[in-house]
Amino acid sequence: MNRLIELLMLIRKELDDRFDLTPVVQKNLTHKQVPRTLSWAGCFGGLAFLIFMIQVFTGILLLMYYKPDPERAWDSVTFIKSNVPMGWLIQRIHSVGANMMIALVFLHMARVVYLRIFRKPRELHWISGSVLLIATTMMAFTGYLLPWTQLSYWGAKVGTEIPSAVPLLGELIVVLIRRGENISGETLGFFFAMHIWVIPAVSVLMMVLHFLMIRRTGISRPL
Amino acid sequence: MNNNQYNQGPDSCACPKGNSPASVSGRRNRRGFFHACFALLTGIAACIVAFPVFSFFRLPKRINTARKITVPVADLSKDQALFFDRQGTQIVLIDTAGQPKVFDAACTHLGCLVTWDQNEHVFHCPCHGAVFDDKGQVVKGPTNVPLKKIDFEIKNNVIVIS
Repeated sequence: MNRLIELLMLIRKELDDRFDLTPVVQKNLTHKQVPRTLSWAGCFGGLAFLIFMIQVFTGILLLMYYKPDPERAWDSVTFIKSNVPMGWLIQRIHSVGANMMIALVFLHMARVVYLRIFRKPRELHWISGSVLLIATTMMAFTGYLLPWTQLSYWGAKVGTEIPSAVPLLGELIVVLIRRGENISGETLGFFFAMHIWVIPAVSVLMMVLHFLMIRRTGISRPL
Repeated sequence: MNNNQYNQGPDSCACPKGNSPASVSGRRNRRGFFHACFALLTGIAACIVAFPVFSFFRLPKRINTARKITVPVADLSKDQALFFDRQGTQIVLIDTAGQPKVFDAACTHLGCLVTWDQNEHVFHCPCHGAVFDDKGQVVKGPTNVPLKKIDFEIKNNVIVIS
């Protein structure tokens, strides 16, 4: 154990000799100072980010067995839940995590609204956060179809019906997001691509902007 | 910077700053104790996360699908080949000169699936051009190992491959 600690200390020293990392880590992470008036409610955004990372990780694990094909999607999810060791847990974490993430995003927003944090100089934080809210709900919506159950089928059916209320273009939008008149294998493939790649990529980009802007303006200090 | 606005750094302590050796070492011990507790809790948390994740990489339970492949002899047509999936491996059944034979369809060179040429009565491997005759023997090609024979039996005019 002591040898291990010595080895880690040596690695740290050698890295510091070259990159001088310790002050950077201390300033930004281990000795980072936050306003004393910040309450525990300031954790919601960070917790939503933590859950996002858990979702990415469990999502990658599920991807090892999931098959985005209407013939096999339901079977593959059932296989994960009943045959893969601890698959039931990973699948459950992924589905419960989606709900938790939305709840935390809303709590985070509620605090920002209540304390009027969105005002100058933090308007762009609010806008990037709004994009993240849409991205989060879209990830949940597209992910809901993937197990290809009755619930997910009708959920997607009703959900994709919503844009039809848009004047003139409504029907076209519905057809475009369903990849046809009805929910089909093409819808599943499209939702799958959106769910695992497109929306997470947009989310990561927005999160980077969101976090960099918070670092630049500092955390809002309520009275 | 207003000191009241920020939490003070970890080196500061609310207790009066005595310089007596006893109080300094007492604080060191306490810090060491908390460091050890933190390391222990982190380790436990890491184990709780690691267990399901490593478990996930174990092989999944397979439902035993080992069932017999049965082909009525009447379904065989002369010089035709029939391919079957046998627990994930492909096997081929041929009937030449009224004598059914079953082979593992994987080429003995690098495992590509061979194809049956009913005119020439040979198996061709699409990958590197190996050729096997209808007894599985090598005619040509990068390998010198014959196709693997699969045992079968004929019961009541039905070919049974277990």
